[in-house]
Amino acid sequence: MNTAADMVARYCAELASIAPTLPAAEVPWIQQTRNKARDDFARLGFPTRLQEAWHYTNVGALQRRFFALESTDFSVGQSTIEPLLYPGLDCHRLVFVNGVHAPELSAIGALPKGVELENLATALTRTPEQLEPFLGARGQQTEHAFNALNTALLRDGVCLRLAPNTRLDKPLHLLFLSTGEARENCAQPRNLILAAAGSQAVVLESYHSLDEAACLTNSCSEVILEADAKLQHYKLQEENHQSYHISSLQVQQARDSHFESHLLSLGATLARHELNVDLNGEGARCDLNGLYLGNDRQHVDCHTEIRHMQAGADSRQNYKGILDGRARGVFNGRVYVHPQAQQSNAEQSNHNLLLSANAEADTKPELEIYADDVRCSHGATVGQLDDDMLFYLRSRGLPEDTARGLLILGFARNLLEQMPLKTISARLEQKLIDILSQSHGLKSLI
Amino acid sequence: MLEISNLHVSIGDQTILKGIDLTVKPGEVHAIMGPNGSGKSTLSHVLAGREGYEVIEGSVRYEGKDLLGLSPEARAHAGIFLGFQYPVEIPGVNNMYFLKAAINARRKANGLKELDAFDFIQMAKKKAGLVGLDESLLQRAVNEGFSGGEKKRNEIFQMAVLEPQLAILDETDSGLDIDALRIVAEGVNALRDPERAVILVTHYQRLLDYIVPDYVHVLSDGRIVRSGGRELALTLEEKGYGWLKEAAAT
Ligand SMILES: Nc1ncnc2c1ncn2[C@@H]1O[C@H](COP(=O)(O)OP(=O)(O)OP(=O)(O)O)[C@@H](O)[C@H]1O
Ligand SMILES: [Mg+2]
Repeated sequence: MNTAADMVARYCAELASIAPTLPAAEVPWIQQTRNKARDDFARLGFPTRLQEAWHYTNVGALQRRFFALESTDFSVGQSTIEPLLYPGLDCHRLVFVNGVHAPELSAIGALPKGVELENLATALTRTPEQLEPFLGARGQQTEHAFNALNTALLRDGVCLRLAPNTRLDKPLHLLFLSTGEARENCAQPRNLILAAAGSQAVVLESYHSLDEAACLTNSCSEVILEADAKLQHYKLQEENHQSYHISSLQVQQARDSHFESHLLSLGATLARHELNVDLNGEGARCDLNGLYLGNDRQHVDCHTEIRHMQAGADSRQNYKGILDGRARGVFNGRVYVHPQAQQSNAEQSNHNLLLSANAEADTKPELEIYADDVRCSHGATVGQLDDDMLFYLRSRGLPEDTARGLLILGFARNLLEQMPLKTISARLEQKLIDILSQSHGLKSLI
Repeated sequence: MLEISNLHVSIGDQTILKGIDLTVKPGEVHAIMGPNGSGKSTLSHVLAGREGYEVIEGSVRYEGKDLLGLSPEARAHAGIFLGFQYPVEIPGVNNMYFLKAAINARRKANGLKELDAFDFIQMAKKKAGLVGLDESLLQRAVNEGFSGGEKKRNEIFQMAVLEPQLAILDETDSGLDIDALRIVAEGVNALRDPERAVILVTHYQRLLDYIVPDYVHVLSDGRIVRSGGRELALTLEEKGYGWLKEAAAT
């Protein structure tokens, strides 16, 4: 096993060998979809830095290290997940261990009429024909190696379907747990959210490691928002510092729909968050907020692409990086405005705080605008803590490390404040504080 | 309380303070006046411990000990407070939260019990009322979006909460309306007692109607060129700084 091609072949061989055991393996379109994706992955291989989209992020390590796809029995107890839950957050819960649904840990509860919530494996078995339009030929980016790898497995994840004008009564908390035990595993959740006209939901995805084993998460989510539908989406990524986290979220938005995304990326040695939004109807709007922290040698890459396909849609992006140690943060934000997408509004900002001389931030806005009546703005900064602010705080008696911690938290604050669900934002803020108190003196004060 | 002797300070290769001598005793109020650029803020910053200044000669002793080796926070813990000429805006850092952290850091450094949230809020609200600071400002980020006058009131509010031994107020009166000026003055006067001292940097004799100083000093080109009583401020108001230079020349 020493060349990239060997490693790709090894994944393909394992995929072929477990194919008959996968959910709905006998359904022809599903079989074809998996086979085609496996061929795509075999053809594409892992991306290299020669590819524009991966210029700043080197996934070479994945060519040398195999993460097993075959599922084994994991015994994860309720007490293990307890600390990962949000006290005070009344929610529906689905738990996945290494990408496979764990019914004994999940708690879906009663659902409003018109809302279907189940794990994908169940949905694939129960109503495969209904999913074909979304997971079949149309539902994939065939030139994306990680999406291909995910589709080649197409095993499990969440499937949420909202009938017109329904509302998921409580937030949905999706827990994705990685555990290694004796080997290094690959989790490939595949999530599908179909929100019909006028429907609404709040979804929180959280990614955690249960031990110190290195794992690869390659998650793929698709969201379809029909006219007037609303989705509030939160994502917390706090896997251990040995793990790799690759994710892509594709959003299709119809007229007057609203997609709101809040990302907090804390963990993994390498984390890549792709978020692609197509604004396909007038009045569609997306708000994307992201906060990423890096320390040691962590690498975190936020890659967004927003396509304004019709007139009168709005997009707002606000990403912030806090980078310490030898960490590297990347923000690559592409905004495309189609010639007929007049009166588009696109704002993008990326601010980075470097806390050490060896940390690095790369920010790359890409604006491709083909309509003339549009308002587009973008701003990017890379800076350090402000000396005047530090002095001000210290002159009032705050120790230097506390002053630094407060300023770092202050830098992140507006992103936390934009989260409508305070039970979530308070918890995420506490996570930030916990991390900052390891290197800064916040603990004694809070 | 404070003894500045022969203090020379430079920034880069430019010497800004060129031999300052000033002694402040407990209970005293000293006003420092002087033309723009003469070094008043530089002196204030050096006393509070800001980085970026080089002391090339002289010394500063505070309560009998060397001050210049202390960090800004250690000076704050020892009771020094600087009211900034240009208070900085700090987005995302809540005013109350910050001030509670500040007061407790000081209490801790002095071996006192930290204030709990309830006691702190009670006290802060009382002080805010005293200095006429709108309570809604307490819940905002430090100085963010505050008007010029609100920022200055916030400085006085912080001073009132922290109850310093030595307050150095750098043009706290600039940008205040008449009512605010009176309130600021009341804030300072409320703090006056035989144990505390105040250094007031100001351009306006008007403030000195409200806070009557024991001494007035004129700083010009990095030196104290004249010291006197309160009447010196009146003379300056009338004649400007020109006559001092002429007097110095003859
Ligand atoms: N960071 C700096 N770098 C270079 N020169 C500086 C710096 N800070 C202050 N100076 C210079 O030092 C001198 C004294 O400035 P300072 O701010 O102390 O004056 P001031 O007496 O407070 O004036 P004002 O009445 O306008 O507030 C000025 O000539 C100023 O330009
Ligand atoms: Mg000044």
